[in-house]
Amino acid sequence: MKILGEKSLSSKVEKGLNILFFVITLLDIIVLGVAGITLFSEFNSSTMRDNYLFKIVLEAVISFIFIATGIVALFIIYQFIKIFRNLKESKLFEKKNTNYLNKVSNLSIIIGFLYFMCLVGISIFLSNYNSLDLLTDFLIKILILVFSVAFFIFGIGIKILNEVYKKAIEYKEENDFTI
Amino acid sequence: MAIIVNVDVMLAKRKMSSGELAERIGITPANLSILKTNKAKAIRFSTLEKICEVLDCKPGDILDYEESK
Repeated sequence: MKILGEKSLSSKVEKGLNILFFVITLLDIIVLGVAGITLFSEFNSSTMRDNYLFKIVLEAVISFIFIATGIVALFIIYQFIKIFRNLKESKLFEKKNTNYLNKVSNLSIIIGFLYFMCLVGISIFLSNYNSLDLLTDFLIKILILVFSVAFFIFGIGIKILNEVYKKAIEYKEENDFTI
Repeated sequence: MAIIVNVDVMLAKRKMSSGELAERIGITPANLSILKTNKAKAIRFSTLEKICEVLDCKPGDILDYEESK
């Protein structure tokens, strides 16, 4: 199977990423709307006790952090689209690719950090208001922790691979300019 | 770069054109241009040997070292 160039795996992946980009954008808009409406109606119908208001504000902050991770993920997908576009055009050893990978790595670490912030927020501030049973609550927290660690490791991994890629570009240039 | 390639000087001394040198040592004129303009990162011993053979000189006549600032 052809990996690089036109009508290859990389061109199919690029198309897939374009669809994913569109789907995530749509989902982000829907989630943003639903979260906004829910929080607004909850805010209006609440009895305005201080504790309840605190809970709503916290829920809003955590919801928007989750939505922010979706927006950051969009940027990551966009960087991958640009990388795969280059691969489709057989531009393998482009310095631009290292810039894209660097951005992907930084954004992944940011997502990992945002998930971690959510976990901290849920664990510390929302534990008093928790209506979930113990097991579900535990599983949700573990899932968020796994996401956080996974994105963090992914970001660091990409950063290291990016350095290898930079070295490869350097060696290729050296090879090209060896007479 | 600290290493200076003086192929131009030797070509002038031997009254030879770049094209002729490229053809006789078996490299493309584009690659010879890279060498002459000091853009080359490395030179193979085989290429150096051919240049010396064609221009009838020593490697030291072609390559020079200049302390980089």
